[in-house]
Amino acid sequence: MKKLEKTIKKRYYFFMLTIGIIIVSGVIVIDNSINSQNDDAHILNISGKQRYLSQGIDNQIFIIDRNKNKLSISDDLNKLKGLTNEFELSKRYLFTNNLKNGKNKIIDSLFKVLEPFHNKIVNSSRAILNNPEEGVIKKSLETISEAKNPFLITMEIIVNTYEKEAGIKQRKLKNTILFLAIISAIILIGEFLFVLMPAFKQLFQKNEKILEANNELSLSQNKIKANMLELTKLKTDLEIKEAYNKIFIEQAPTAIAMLDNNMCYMAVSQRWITDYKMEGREIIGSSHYDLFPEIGNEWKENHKKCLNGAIDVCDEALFPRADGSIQWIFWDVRPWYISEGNIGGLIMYTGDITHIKEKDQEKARIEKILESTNKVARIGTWELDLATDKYTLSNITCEILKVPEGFEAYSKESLYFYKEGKSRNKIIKSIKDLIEAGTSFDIELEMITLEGDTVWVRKIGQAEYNEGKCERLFGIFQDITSIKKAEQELYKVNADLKAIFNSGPIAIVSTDNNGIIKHFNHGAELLLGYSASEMVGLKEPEIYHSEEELVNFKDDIAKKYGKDPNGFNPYLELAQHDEYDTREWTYSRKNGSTFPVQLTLTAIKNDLGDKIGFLGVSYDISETKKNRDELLRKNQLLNFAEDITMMGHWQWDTVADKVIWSNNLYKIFELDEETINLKFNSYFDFVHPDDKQIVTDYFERAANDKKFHRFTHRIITTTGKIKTVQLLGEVFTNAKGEVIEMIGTGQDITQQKMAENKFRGLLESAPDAMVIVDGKGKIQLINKQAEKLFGYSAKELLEKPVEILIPERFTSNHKYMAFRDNFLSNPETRGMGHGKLLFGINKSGKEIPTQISLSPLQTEEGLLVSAAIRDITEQKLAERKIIEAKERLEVLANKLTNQNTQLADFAHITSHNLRAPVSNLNSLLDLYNVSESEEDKVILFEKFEKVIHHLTATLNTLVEAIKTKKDGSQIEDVSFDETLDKTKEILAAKIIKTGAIITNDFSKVNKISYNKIYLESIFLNLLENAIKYRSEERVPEIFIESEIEDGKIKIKFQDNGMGIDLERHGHKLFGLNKVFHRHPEAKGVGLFMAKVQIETMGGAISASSEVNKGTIFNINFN
Amino acid sequence: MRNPFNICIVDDDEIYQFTVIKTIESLKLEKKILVFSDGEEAFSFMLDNIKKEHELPDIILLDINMPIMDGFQFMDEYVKIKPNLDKKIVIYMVSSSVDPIDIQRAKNIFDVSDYIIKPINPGELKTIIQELHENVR
Repeated sequence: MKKLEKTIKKRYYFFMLTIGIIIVSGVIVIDNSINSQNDDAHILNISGKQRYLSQGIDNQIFIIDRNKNKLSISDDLNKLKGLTNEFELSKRYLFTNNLKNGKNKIIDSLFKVLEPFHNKIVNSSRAILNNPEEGVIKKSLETISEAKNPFLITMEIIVNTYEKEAGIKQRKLKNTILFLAIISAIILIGEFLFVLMPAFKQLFQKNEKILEANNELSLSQNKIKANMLELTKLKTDLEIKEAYNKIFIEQAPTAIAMLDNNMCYMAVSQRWITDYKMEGREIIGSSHYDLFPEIGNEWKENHKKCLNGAIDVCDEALFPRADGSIQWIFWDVRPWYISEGNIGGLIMYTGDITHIKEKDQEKARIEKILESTNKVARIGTWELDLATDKYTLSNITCEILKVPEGFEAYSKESLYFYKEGKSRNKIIKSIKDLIEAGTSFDIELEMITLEGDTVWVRKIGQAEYNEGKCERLFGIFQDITSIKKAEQELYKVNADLKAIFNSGPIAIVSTDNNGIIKHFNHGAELLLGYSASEMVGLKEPEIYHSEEELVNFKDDIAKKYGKDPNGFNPYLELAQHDEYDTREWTYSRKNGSTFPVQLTLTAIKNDLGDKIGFLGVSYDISETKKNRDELLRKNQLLNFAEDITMMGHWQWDTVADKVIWSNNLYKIFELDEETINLKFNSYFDFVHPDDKQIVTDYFERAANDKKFHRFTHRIITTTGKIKTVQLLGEVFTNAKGEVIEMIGTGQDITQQKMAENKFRGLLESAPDAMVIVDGKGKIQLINKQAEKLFGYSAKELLEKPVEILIPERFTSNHKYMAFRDNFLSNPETRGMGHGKLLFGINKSGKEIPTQISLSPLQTEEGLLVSAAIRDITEQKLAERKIIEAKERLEVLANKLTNQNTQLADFAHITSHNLRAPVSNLNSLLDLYNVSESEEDKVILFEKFEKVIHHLTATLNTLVEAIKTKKDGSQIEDVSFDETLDKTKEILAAKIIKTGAIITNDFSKVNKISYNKIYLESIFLNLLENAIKYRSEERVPEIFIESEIEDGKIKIKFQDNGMGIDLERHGHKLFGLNKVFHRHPEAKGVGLFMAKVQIETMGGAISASSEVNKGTIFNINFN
Repeated sequence: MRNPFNICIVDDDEIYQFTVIKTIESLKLEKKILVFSDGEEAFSFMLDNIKKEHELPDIILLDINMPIMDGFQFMDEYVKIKPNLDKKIVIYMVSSSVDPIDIQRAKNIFDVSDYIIKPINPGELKTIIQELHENVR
């Protein structure tokens, strides 16, 4: 603040100083201007006076002129003199003034104009003065009047100029003042602000501070509000506390009473009421002495003392009550204060110690009992003197450790009593801790007694210190073996129980009396698919039971206890009888599927034996049930099977000679099933007398070999029937290898035996040879026909491989083996060797054509194959004859077909090859008919000639072809090389010309029975073609080769010529007049003729060719 | 310029060629006669002039039996190039064959207008050519 004041003060001084300066400068300026104005006014005045003076001078002179005759002239002259002087002085003043104050050029020039007029006036006036004569006066007057006017005018101008100047000056002054005023004002305002700035600053700061203060204020206001609230709360609390205090007293577990100054009750604890048996009485407000009339004056006196501030405490006192009973009580009575020194009443704290008094007596008794219990509980003591390192043990301790009484042990040795490992480590650590840190211990240890038994011991240890040094250890030693054992047992049982409860397959569900589920274990969750959370407390087990079973259960239990099922509660009944029920139930899972369970229902009872719920323990017996069912089913099946197979089983305890038979065995022997005490002989008696030896032998053998071999024998049943029985069995021995038991089956195979006999008969009567072979291909049985066919006896073939009956050339074939294996692995009735001739071979090695059909026969011994074999020698002969006849017919048919084709060819030839020239002739003839010029006719004739020539050639070819067909029968032996030579001779010119190389190979066959002319013609045509259609690029090479295949002679003409596109021309290759090259000599006759000739002789010709490579003609002469 | 009327004879029989040419000449038409001895020659010519409309024939008298390429083979090839031809060509198959198989086969070819059995009647030939000639004009 002071700083501000100082600043303001400083600034104020400066402000004031400035104001002073402004005023002073203003005064100076104004003063200056006033002076100047005065000067100006003076000058103006003088100037004006000058005019007046000039006129005065003029007037004076005039007066003088008029008064020249008078005496008074001198006055007038004086006056004039005065005027003139003044006039002169003024003029000088003005002059100098003008010079002094900076020459005004205008005024200056005006003065120069004025000067002469002025001088004239002055000089005239002076002249008068000097000489006041008439003339002079007159002259002067004249001069003056002359000069007067211009003077006046000039003077006036001067005055005006002065005035003007003064005006300018005035304006200037005005502007200056205005300027000064503005500047001053600006400076003053600026300084004013400058002075006030710190003040403003301070003001803003102050404002902010005030705002802050305001905020703080509102904050503190809130705090105050909160404090107020707290205060109110405290007040309420206080009130509540007061109430609580009352409640506290009322509910205190001890007997407390609060009384006012008048000994009337204000509050009393429940205990008080019970202690003093005041239940149901109005206490609050009642007087203490009204409630306890038995209180004597002595106590009342004490109360009064207390009301004055004393405290009355009594540990025990007898309180004879008004009803005659006696109570031992203690009390603590003291005043309570409303405020300091202001007693509000008394608080009484009493206790009924009647029963404590009684207990004291009891305590003595108990101590006695305890002592004896110690013995029973096998609690001993131990002591270790650290100075001597020696143990002192009590008798019981010795007993526990099974050491003699008074046994002494040093600490090191004593360690051996502790079981090595956990227990020993534990005791070492505990003793160490006890000695070093004084940590007492109470541990359970496993110990080994002197006799080597294991005992569990509870050892408690404490240390005794003397001057900070541990001197003695001592403690208790208790045999807890039995406890430990029980504990372990319990633990195990608990664990078992827990395991059972949590185990998967056992569902444990308990319900309360309302049937609502209380427990639903993990097993139940697993089995039923419900979760415990959705079942416990919500559902009844009925949810997964079937209604029908529940009804059945109810009826069942009702029946059991002879009750009416209507309104009957089976659970309650069970609980009443303290019984449980175990039976099979069917549960439905959450997903609806069902499964069988074994459920045991038990009532749960509390300590008092009241039923509080039901416990159901169930486990899934699907598997068990399945197995059981399976067993039942199998047993049934076995019985059934035994029944069907007429088989029974037996069990013979060879040591005790006790035999057990199955029902079926009884049936087979037609023995009454009631017959018991069966022995081996009971069986042996049934054996057919003829077979007794066999049976004895067999059983002896079984006993020796320890192996039972299958065998059959006959029996005579109780009804005298003879049956064949097959026995199978197994021998059991003990560790010493002695036979102790035999078990086995006995099957009635009488019918089978008969069937076998029948089968044999059937086999023998079969018309075909029958060979029966087992799965390994060994012959098992053959019939008489087979013996006859193959020449072997049945015995000779038994167990021989079937291949003995098949020629080796077939059996060595891998196809045969494949067939055999295939048949054996996939047996079914089938014929053998479809379409192929099969052969058997007899004993003498002769092959027999046969027909074989195979059929599998599944028997108890495995797969048998029966082969029916038929001798088809005669059949084969007949067949061959038919085939031959057929083949002949086929040849005939072929020939006919051939001739047909040839006929068709001829039809084609006549249709085209003959029609064309004929039609040409017709056309030419038409032309000829219309031709007019001789020239044309000549040309036409040439054409006619051509056509006729062509026609003739064609007809010749045809005639030749037809002739060929006729001459086909002239056959002789022709050799190929001779024919070729002859052909080469004919073609010699062409061969030489073309340089053709003709080679041949007739080594395989060189002769053929053929029409010689044809063969020559064929050779000529083919060879000529080969040369004619040679390639221009190559020397023709022709190769002719003969061969024989399947008895047929073939010949091949191969060239390297132009070749033919057979795809395009193949179909007309051998046609008459068909040409494929633009060869001038191509006529289409050669191949046609060759074909006709070959086909006439029953052969065939074909060609293969590749363009620009060559052609091969194959002739099959047949 | 008007296209010339082109008549094409494909036949290996020179007498036939001669008689047909004579017959056509007697018609005194403004025409050009092309003669080929087998199908391949004719086809090569067609290929060479495929875009020359005025060179291609208006009518072809096609023989069946010819060396190298016969009438049917020619037709097989002709069908392939036909879409590329700018000219409509009338084809008659002419043969001395009276084999019904040949006749049927020829008539089954879409592009063959008719089958004419040799000897070709001069009057018939004239009618065909004249009619066609009129149509083309």
